[in-house]
Amino acid sequence: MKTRVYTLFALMIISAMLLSACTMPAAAPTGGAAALVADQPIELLYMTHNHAQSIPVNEAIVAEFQASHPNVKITFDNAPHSNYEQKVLTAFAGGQGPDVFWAGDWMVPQFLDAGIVAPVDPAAFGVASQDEFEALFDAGALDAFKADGNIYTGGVSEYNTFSLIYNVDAFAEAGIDPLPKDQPITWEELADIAAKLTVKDGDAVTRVGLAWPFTTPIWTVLIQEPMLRQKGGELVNAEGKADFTQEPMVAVMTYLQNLRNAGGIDPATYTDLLQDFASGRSAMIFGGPWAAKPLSEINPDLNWETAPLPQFADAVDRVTTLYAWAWFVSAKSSPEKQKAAWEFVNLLTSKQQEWWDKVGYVQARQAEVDGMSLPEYYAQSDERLATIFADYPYGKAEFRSTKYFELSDIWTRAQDRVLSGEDVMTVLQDAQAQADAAMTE
Amino acid sequence: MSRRTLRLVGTISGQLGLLAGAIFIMAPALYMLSASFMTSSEIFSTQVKFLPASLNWENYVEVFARFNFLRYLSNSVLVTGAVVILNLVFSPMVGYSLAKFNYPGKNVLLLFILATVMVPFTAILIPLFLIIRNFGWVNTYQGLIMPFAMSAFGVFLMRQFMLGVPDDYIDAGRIDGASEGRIYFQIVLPLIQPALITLAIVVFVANWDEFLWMLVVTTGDALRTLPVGLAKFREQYTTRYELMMAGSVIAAAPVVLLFLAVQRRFLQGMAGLSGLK
Amino acid sequence: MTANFASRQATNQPKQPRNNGLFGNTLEARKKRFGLLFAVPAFLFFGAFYVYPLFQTFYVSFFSWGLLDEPSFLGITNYTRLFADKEFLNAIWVSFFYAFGVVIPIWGVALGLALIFNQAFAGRQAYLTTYYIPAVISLTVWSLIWLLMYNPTFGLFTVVIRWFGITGVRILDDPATAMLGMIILSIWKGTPVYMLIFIAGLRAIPGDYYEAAQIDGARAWQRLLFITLPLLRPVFLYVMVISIIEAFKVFTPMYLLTNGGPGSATRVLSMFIFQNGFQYLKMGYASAASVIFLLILLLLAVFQFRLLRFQQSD
Repeated sequence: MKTRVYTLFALMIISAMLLSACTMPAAAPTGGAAALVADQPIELLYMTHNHAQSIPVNEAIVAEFQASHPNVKITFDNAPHSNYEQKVLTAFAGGQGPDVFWAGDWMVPQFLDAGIVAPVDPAAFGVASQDEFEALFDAGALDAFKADGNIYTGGVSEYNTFSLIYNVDAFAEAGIDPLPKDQPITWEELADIAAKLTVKDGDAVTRVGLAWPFTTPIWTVLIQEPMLRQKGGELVNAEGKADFTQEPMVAVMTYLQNLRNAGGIDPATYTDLLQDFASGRSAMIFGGPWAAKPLSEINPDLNWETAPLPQFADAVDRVTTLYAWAWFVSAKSSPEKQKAAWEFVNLLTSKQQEWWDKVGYVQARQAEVDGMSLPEYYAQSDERLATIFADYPYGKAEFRSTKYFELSDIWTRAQDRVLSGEDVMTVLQDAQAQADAAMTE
Repeated sequence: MSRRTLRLVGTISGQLGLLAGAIFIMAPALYMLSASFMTSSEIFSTQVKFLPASLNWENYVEVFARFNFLRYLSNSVLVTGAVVILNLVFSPMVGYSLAKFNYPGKNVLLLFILATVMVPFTAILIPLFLIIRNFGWVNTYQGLIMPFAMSAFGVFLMRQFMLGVPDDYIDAGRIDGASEGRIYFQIVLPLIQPALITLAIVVFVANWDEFLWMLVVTTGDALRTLPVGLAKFREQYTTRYELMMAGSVIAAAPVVLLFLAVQRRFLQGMAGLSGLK
Repeated sequence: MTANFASRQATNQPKQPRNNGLFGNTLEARKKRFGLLFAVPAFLFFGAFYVYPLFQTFYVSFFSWGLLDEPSFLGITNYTRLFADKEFLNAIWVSFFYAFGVVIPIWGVALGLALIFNQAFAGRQAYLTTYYIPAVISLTVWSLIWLLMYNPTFGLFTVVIRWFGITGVRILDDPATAMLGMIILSIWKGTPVYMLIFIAGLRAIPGDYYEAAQIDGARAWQRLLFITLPLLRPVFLYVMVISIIEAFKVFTPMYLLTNGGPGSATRVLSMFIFQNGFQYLKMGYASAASVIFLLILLLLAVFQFRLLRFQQSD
């Protein structure tokens, strides 16, 4: 009886493996090449992340498009930021990828690698060529989305940098003068200020000087990369190899460890970036133009000001960060769907006023609003934002790699370990080993 | 002290101990309930507050209004309800077959089921997803329900109880000329009723909480269940604890209430297990 | 007379049929068919949804596959890479630490509570119900409650231990204590289930044994040591095996509370697999890790069986 069971089992293993071999890889079904009949009913799946203020705006634009295109039905879905991109990728793997979707510019290498995104269709935007399409936007805004002569996005949905936002009252309490608006302070000065601003009640920290964005790996990269670049370093070189042990990285990590030891930052106290700041649980944050509106909603009495992103005293160059979320259209969708999708994106990108007024998203597609150019319009809504806009020109995009997720996770874990007091060189060497392993697969 | 007084002291201290234990055990759940009625500032205050100043029902209102919770709730009820029913139908069948019968392939089946217990869900997540995709079940109720139609634990539980059913009863049915099917439905099933209730509760609790699969298989809010809804509270810029607690209460309440309703039978069922393995 | 009859029967036995006994109209055959019939749904279900994906995972572990591209054959490279990967080895260590950190206290507390609840006393039913409630609250909800309670400034947990003089605790943010935080909330939630199983086992012990022992003059602790514990052995084995497997599979609290951090302090094996497969899209690598995971669980189960069988035979 036993031998029978084993033989049966072995037979099953072999047949199952043969079956697996036959059915793998499970190719995602692609859209068929049907005739391009206008007025054919079209269904689009539109996916974005779920930043609260953006949802009603998206919904309104969806409604408007459906009204003017009666044959198109759009299903609007949104997902939390954590794992958002993986959700998109898995959806594609399952053959249910969205037709139109938001994604960060750091995803472009992976999208291109997987052949998911389609080059833009200029006709939908009322122009004849991709060059003319590019001219609709601010210079350089679409650089991150270009590859092999094509532009792979329909437009930028938000376009951000990080500057310093601080609580003026907290500063006054600690006897610190407001920061200059035209000149960035040094990171070293920031460390001192942050330590002074931290308030403790016994052993509990009731207010932390600087809220260090600990939660998502994306933030780790967005803040640390400009610091790294200021020191003259670059995480990923031209060949795509990551270097965690370079001098600039050691300098940045050491700085962070000192900042933590002095009490200027404290990972444990972080609950929510804006809520903490608005309620006085943190005295300084890094934020972009999108922060202004929510802050005034949460706490209208908050007295906050902006300052340029700090720079190292020995920085080789003034560098800030620049990142964008953009609209993509799936290359896996049928031609009619893609056509409709591009027209939809055209509508989405022409709502610059709504995106700014209701959500605080800076748009790159040029337009005149109330007789002003976009930058003028943005500036007049809140003059504190002028400082943030002044940081834009110094912005450099994040590192590009198909291994973005893994490398940013490695970076974040190294940061965590450094912040809990481990020796910087050991941590970075471990990180290097992991990065090397990651690159080989 | 007389023996009686000693006994009394023993009983009282025993009761006090149990009571203290009960409060200790229930503390997190009670805190969740309390925090769901607090305001944001009450939760964050360093002066720890065990009770809110007043019952802030707005938290619940906001949860339902802003976060589509009614839909999540109804989806959870639908999906978990279906899973429980399927388990109640099939698990006893399989358990009975494993306990009282011999047939070729029986050991193989046991091996299958044992393997299921050992396998962490994340290990088969992607292949399972692709199988569901090939059936065309992505983003459908079937896709959410079918992978849980039976559970290894359920089958083993049923098998255990079936082993406890005296063979005489079954043989008596056969001697009387009843078909195997009739024996199953009219003799065996009624005998293990407490076990069925136990099975229902255990499966309900486990499935109500299923997060990863529900997240992966659904695109769009239409079919999402409560755990996914709860995770959505962790938006990038906003973590509102008071809402999260209100949502948690909404998510936990149905199961707790269900449990309380059948706890007598359930405990009978679980505590009535005899001779395991 | 009977002897002759019996021997005549013996010599006249027809040869055993070569089939598997499924055919024919004997009671045995009918029973076999019925049993098989009732087992078919299980074959289909577990085969399709668990065993087949498991084989696919095993198959994929020999490839490099990014989910959206073509797989490429790697042989055993994934496995060799895994064993050179510090993160993987850390994941194994951390998982062991968590699993045993959870189950060992649970065994003790669950057994103790079961012994208490095995007696009759006022309010037994009510107390039993109350003690069971944490088991009924879903793990997602339970984790979120503890997220709030563990907050180093205002969390209930932090505040309460401050009363006992332990200050400056940031339990989830300190690599040394993060796992402890996970262990605590898991013990809290997991104990009731096993307590109930132990109660069931205790009730199965016939009262006569205790009576006989009492007549012989055995004291309470002697009865516990020499009757209860030995007779609980099969239950204990069951609890051991199941609790360890379940503890190894746990994923939700680590995902919701710390995402494997700080650093990799709570990055258990199931998280490692999830991140590599689902986030980095390294399907082959994650599959290989899954296979090793399965082997670990198998070895542990076999080890426990051997351990308790040995003891039983002496």
